Amino acid sequence: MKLAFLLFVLLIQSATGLASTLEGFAGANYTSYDAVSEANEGGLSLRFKYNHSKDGPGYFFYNVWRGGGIANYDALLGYSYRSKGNLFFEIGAGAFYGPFGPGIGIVAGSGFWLGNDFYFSLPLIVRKMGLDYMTISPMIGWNF
Amino acid sequence: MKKIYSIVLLVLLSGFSLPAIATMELKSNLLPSYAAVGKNDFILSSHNTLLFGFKEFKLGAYFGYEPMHSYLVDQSVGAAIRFGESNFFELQAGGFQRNFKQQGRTYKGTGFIVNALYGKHWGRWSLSLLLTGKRISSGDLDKRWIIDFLPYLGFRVAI
Repeated sequence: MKLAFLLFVLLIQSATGLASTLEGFAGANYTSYDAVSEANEGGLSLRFKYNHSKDGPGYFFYNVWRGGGIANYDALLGYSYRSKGNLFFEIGAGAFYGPFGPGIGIVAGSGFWLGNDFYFSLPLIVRKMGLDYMTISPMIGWNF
Repeated sequence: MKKIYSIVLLVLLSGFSLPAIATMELKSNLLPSYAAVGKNDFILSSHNTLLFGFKEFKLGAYFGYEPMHSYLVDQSVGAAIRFGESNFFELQAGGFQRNFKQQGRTYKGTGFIVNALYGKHWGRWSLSLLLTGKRISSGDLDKRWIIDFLPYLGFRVAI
């Protein structure tokens, strides 16, 4: 359902022709033990954020998945303001929905552009209600 | 005579421009991350290189320092080789040690590490995808292979 929503958003986006950005971060790890193969473990983590506007006000859709099943997936739909320029700042808020129950979320972040197409982003996400957490980690962004 | 002087001058000037091609470069590939869900997890992985050579081909020393928790630190030291500049491919390899602290004791596992990076430079900044293989082959810890695949942010300065 969330994926369908994202695809719908991207469809609308491509129709309107406004500049949007998508930023994300993904990693994988695997450990294989010599002695006890039952102890072998692997994991994936993925987070991405879609921003309807390249800069200025606009809605965003933040997703975080910590691996190990759908229970570790969480999504935040919100509205934020992102400043213009090579070095930018962002502030916004929205509502979380996912297996951790409903909650409110705040985003505060900054980043900078590497040319016209790519940027670094460092969003701080705070989630309250249901499951409280705070994360900050870099993301790599793409303007399309 | 003037011609000879100008040729000598030309040779000297081309000599002066050599450092622009053959440079020495200090670079850090970083992955900082903080997450608090009940407890705090702070990760700061860094893979550092001191490379010298030509624009499209560099080699030199490699040092990795990855504190994943207050009780778990991975360190590695070795050599690195890089092909390309705007788009680059880099190999890093060397000795590896994991320190694991538990109940006042420090357990050590040693082995080797091999990193393969593919990335892109934007002047001083870069993005790279890092595939790392760590092998713990001796020491207090269980023998194992650790494979990680992660994107890294890079920052470099010329020396």
